[in-house]
Amino acid sequence: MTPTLRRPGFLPYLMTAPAHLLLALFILLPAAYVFALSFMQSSFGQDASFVGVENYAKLLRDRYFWMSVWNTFIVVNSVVYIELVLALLLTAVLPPPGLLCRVIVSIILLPYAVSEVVGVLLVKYMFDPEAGVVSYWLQAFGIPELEWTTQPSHALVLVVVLSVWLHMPFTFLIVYTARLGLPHELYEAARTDGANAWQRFRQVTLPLLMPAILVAVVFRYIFAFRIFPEVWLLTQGGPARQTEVLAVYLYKSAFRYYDYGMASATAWAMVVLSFLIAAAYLRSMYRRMFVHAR
Amino acid sequence: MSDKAASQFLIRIRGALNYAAIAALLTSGTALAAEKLVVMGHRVHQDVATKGQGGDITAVWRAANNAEIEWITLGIDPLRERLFRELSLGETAVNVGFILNAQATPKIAKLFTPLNDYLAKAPIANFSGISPPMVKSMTFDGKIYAIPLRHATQGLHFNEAYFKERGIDHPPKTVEQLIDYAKRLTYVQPDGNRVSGLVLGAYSHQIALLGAMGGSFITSDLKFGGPDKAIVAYYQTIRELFVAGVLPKAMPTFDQNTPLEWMMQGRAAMVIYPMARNAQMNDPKLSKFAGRVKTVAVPAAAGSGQAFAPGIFEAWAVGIPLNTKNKDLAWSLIRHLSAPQSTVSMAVNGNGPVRLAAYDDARLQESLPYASEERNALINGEPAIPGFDNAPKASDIWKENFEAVMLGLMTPADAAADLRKRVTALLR
Repeated sequence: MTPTLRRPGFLPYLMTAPAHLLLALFILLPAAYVFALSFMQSSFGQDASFVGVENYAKLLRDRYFWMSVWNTFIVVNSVVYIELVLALLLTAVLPPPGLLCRVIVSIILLPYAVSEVVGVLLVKYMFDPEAGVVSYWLQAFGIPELEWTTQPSHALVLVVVLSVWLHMPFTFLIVYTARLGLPHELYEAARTDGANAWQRFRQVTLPLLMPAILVAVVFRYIFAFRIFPEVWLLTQGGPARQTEVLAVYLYKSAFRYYDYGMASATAWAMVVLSFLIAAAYLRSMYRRMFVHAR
Repeated sequence: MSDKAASQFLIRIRGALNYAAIAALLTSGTALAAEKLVVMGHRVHQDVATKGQGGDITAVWRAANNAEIEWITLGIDPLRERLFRELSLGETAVNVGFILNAQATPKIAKLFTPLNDYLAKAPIANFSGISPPMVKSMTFDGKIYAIPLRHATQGLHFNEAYFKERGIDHPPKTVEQLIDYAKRLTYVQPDGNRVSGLVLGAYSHQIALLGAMGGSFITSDLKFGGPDKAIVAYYQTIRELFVAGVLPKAMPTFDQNTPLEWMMQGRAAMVIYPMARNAQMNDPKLSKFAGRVKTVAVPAAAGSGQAFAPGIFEAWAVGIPLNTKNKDLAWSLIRHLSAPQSTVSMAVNGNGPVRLAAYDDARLQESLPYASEERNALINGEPAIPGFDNAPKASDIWKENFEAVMLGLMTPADAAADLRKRVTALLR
């Protein structure tokens, strides 16, 4: 006889109410307020007035908005997949758990302890085209310089490199801890069947790590979409606004132009765009994790 | 504890409480007698008003009014952000606020109290002696919303040691000579230090050079300056200087302070920068070239009939929030700080004085080596960008086109036409 689930009573809802209240107060309400503001013209020294979808229309007509969407798309995809490849590579080559492994893992995680602002400023000085130590050694070895101050594409490359250095530990942690949880018996069985290292990685490790990879990818997409300090402190979106990303565009609307209606519309455009990107991965996760629970 | 000991203990406690109550009454009485004025500004405003060889200018006012000043000081952008939010509240505890002229748009200015009535009832001594262009930058629809108190006017700073090294014995007398010097002063020293002949950081420094070349960006009456010919010639010069390596490659990433750092470190031979920074550039604790950095007004073009380019300034003004209390006391402080003698004393403390007459004072001439140069620049002073609602967008468009031309992303002619088109739309 199949056991039937009892409907939860009032108590579980009461117990989770404080958490829901906090979520509502600090996430839902502000989000709703910003959504309402996106239909207003709002700035200092004037009452907010309803303008309908004018802010969204202005946004869609603005070529700088589309440029920032494109730049964000390039940076986010580069960052997420480079981090994933590096995390998988490091997971694959790490020695077995022991003192050496712990030391190496600590070194890999170190950049995560560095403040983003400090990290960006450090890199800015190291890559100074005329006095930076990295630029000096690149020149000394005859390696072409990264002309990030004058070439927008080079600037975006530096932003990607910086972001990967700062945030790769997050992806690595998720992938590595998932790897540690994989059953050893499967690897023994694969070895017994004559699989080499690459085959074991491809046929055993990768499929079993897929849920963790999806979680890491979704989280990194959402976080990377909001990339700001790397761009703002390096280039401020320049030169000539060519490296502007969505977060910089939003910042300028809000805190340089005091156009809170436009800034709110930009914020919601970012929510929709990041949801669309994450939706594909969330659907895949749902299929893998919950479809068999039905 | 025995009954006797307990009662003695209680008596002592009661006595201590009585003394405490009396002391509280006395001190609260003292605190009530002194009024408090909250002033929100930049740290430099507090410093020039309270410290230095000119003394504490607020001391006399505080004694006369039995008032204390609570200073809330913030960086330029945080100050703007915080002050504007305070101005937008139903009521604010801030009694006096400092604002930059470029931030004084009509909408923001109207969050301050119009001061015309105060000027009529309790006028500032020799009010007409305060720079008229600076007063005009705080005036909208005939109402004055803030009184200028400090200016930063662009000048040309040059490294005398590098001039000597390159065989140049006097500062440039024309802007054409300045450009020529910039090329000659771009070189690599024997120790590998690469010197840039000229560095321009923020939009106000760049616009100062445009002014020297006979052009302007946005006039005080909110028209696009031009002429286009001058702007095209300016952009051509900028591109030429960049290709020649005079303007450093890192310039698109400079912030407000980078040109100052470069002069102090010896990476730049000349910068266009606020004149008052001469002190920092010659500070032995900060600069490698203490005592060797000289400051002059930016020279005008040959054949312009002027020795100096118009002084491009940014001015801080002080106003009374519309939503504050105690406005009479606030006005009393502003009157005091704006008085001619206070202007001189604050200038001795390192403030840029907003009165031309202050430069005639012997103390100022002694303490500021560039006093007469700054006076010359101020005679025909103009704001870098006048205050209007889209001023931040206009300055960003300026920056964008400047960088685009410098890096060859746009031709000078296209950039000038684009600048006119986009900025004119903002001025409507």
